[in-house]
Amino acid sequence: MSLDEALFTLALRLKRAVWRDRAPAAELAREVRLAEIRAHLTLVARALSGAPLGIQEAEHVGGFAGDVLYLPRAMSFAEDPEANALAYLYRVAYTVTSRQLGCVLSAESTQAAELTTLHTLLAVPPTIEALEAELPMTRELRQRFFPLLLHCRPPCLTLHTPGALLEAFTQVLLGRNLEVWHDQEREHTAGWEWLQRSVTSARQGHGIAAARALYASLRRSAVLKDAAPVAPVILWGQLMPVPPRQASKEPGDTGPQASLPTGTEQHGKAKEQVRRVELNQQDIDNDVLVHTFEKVATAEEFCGVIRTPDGADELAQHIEALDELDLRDVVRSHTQTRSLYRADVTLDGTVGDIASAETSDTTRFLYDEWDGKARQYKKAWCSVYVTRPTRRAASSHGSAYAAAALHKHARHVRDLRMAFDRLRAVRVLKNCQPNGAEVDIDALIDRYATVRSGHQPDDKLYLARRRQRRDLVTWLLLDISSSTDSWIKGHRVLDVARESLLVLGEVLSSYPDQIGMSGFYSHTRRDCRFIILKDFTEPWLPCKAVLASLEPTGYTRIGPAIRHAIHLLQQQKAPQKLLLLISDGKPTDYDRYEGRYGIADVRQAIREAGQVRIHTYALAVDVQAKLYLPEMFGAGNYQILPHPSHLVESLAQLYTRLSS
Amino acid sequence: MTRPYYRPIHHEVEVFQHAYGNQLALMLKGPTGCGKSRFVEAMAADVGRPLLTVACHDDTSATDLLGRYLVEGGDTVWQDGPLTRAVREGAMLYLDEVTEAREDIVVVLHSLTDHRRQIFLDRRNETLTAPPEFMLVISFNPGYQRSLKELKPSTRQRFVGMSFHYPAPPIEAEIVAHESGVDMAMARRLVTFASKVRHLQELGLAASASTRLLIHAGQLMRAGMSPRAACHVGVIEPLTDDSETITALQDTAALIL
Repeated sequence: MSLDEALFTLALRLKRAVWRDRAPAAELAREVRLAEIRAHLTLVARALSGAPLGIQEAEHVGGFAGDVLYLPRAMSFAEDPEANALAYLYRVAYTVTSRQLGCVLSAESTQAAELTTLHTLLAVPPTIEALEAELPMTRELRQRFFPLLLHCRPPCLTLHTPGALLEAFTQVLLGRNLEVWHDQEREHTAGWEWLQRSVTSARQGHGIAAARALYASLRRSAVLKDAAPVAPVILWGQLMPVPPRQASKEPGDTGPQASLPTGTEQHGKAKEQVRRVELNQQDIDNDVLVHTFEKVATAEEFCGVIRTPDGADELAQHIEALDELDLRDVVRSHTQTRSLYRADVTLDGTVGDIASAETSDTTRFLYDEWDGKARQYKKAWCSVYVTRPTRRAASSHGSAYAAAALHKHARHVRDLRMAFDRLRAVRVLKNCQPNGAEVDIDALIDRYATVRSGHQPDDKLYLARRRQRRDLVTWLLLDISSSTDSWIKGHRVLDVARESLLVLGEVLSSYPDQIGMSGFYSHTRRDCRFIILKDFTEPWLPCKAVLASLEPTGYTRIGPAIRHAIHLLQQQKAPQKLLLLISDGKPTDYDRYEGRYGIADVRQAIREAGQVRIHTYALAVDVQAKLYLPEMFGAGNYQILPHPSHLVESLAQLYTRLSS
Repeated sequence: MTRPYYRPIHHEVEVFQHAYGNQLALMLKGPTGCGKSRFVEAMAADVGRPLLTVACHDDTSATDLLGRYLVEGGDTVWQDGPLTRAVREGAMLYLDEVTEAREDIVVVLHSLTDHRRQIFLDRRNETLTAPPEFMLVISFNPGYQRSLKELKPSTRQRFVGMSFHYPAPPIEAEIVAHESGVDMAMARRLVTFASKVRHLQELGLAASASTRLLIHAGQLMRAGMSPRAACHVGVIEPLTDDSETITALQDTAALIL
């Protein structure tokens, strides 16, 4: 960093420090942040709407687009945190109702801020009416909060600018009496009439249709042309356009591996309405050689040019500058990322495809994939390559790892063995046996009665402790995608998952239960990997060392992995089959196996398992998994662990429960 | 015996009468607390036959249904099981949660549900043929997967099947109002709340709020509890143990009640 840059940064920070501390302490004390109650609000939103809604932080007051509700970062207008949490609740109910009524902006309405405001305001009375019909208690909340909001609005005495007209309109909708502006009738007749007209058409509920006409007359009705923006109401948000769905072709791909993220990761500001930009190779090749900021006056004027990423990891130095920029265009590229500037966005575009040269492999399996939107299978869409880790590479290091891990979990192994033994001891006590250690009293009485009644008695009069034949085969599917490299509460997810497999495998090795294990990851549909760690029949001892060789890599395409596990389980004869998935639960892959599409496919794969009588169960460590895991696996068929260290125990308990 | 209250939803009463008239066994499927048992009670009262109900559990065996010899003093006495009794008396037999029972009961059910309509008591070397008045009704909850059990196709195909769901909101409100004694306005709100909870159930986040739970909440309100508290203890707590879901549902209840 050069000297002038350093000086500028210093000055900027100083200015920020001065500005930021302006927020009064009282406001901070009663503030409620979205981050604190987001998960809880998501559940409420889903309950109210019945749709799999998600909640994201908005840049300003937010609104909704598709299945995502955008809510303000914090709420602080009401008197205490409890009231502000209620205000969030009101806002969620309002936005859900607005979504159900289909209040969206058309593309051209986003051009003018005043038209957006007008659309939003005109939608308010019908939305409130529908809201209070459905949820009666929102009336009380409205009567409590609207005066508070009204109190915070800027004073608005005259009606001579478009801004003032919209402000007055907002205040009327918040509950101010229209008559307050009656004295303007003579001075600004057109303005007064416009206001009356707007209020009438809003109350009559055909607001959306009237918006255009009112907008056209807005400027005519005002004396001055000054258009100061009107602050949106935090409890209503703003209407947003429907997110565009664009089909796109991916550029030819030579190595998806190369674009996997490595290096630094930083969190960026939330962005709503992200746009996907398609680039062709020519644009990238023709990029301007040198382009400095000096050519444009301010960052706002800078509209961006196409540059080839240079791949250096300097994110930490640039983080502040990035926060200032309005980044909302997304480009898919195949260049390796050195730094991650992460922001919460939802891109739910149509599924793209990549044209990749397929490697020829003898152990390739083709599986269909479910397209939830088209409601049909894409035939032979995914290639699953079944591999086995090399034994030699794993041997010495691996055994040492396994020994250390088992030593660490010695208590778990011992407890689990005891639990299994206990379980067996209870189960194997069989009544009505031809011989055994104890007398079966019930059978004896029955025999006595039978003899007395003159019938042929049964000689099976004993209780015997027998090893019960349990016909259960289990396949454990372990997600080893890059996301398992993340750390939750001081544990790396993959480490914990590996250790729990080790413990369970170790314990089960001394019982006749059949168990298989595999890891999976993917790089697009053409390269889904299924790494067999232990086959059903394989002895456990050599498999232990293999586990150490697992490293996080690739993406999480869950569907094909489940389908291959189903295929393996179907070859088994046992009447009861169990498929256990250990994952962070979020389906993702490079070729847009994400969002609703991914969830729909996994759900379909689970349904397929049910059709061939394979029971499925999922274990996840990530708390966020609560939002999509239930939808994929169904109620009661998953478990979310609050702490990764619980995985060892939970897996053991679960297995014990399901196999008994 | 007075006929228990039952509000028909579709053609279930008609289906029952045809099944009864043609001596066909009936299979009821549906979530817990949606009115399966109440339906059977009302139908038994309609046709004027006594009703024997067996709540099956994982130790319910064929012997339990058929009967056994008991020792009484120095003598043995044969004790009819519920199934045998129902066949002898021409009663209605209702096997609730039949998938929970041991697999050996199918041996008994099969001969009883096909053209033979017979049971064989091997201990007494006695064959009983069911009279026309006898009827077998079984029920289970297809979504309920505590253990990995379900009926075999060979068993299922001996029954006439009916699926029960929670009734449509206006009808459900009527039922809640009738059974709990709250007024219609409150019953409607309870049903609205239930529909929100069922949204979450579709997404797999909670168990479904049954009509039975709504009636419980209604009864608590009638006894003087505040609507929100009644909903909390009567509906939300029985549904889930997850504290986040509980608060989310309480908030949803607060918006409605």
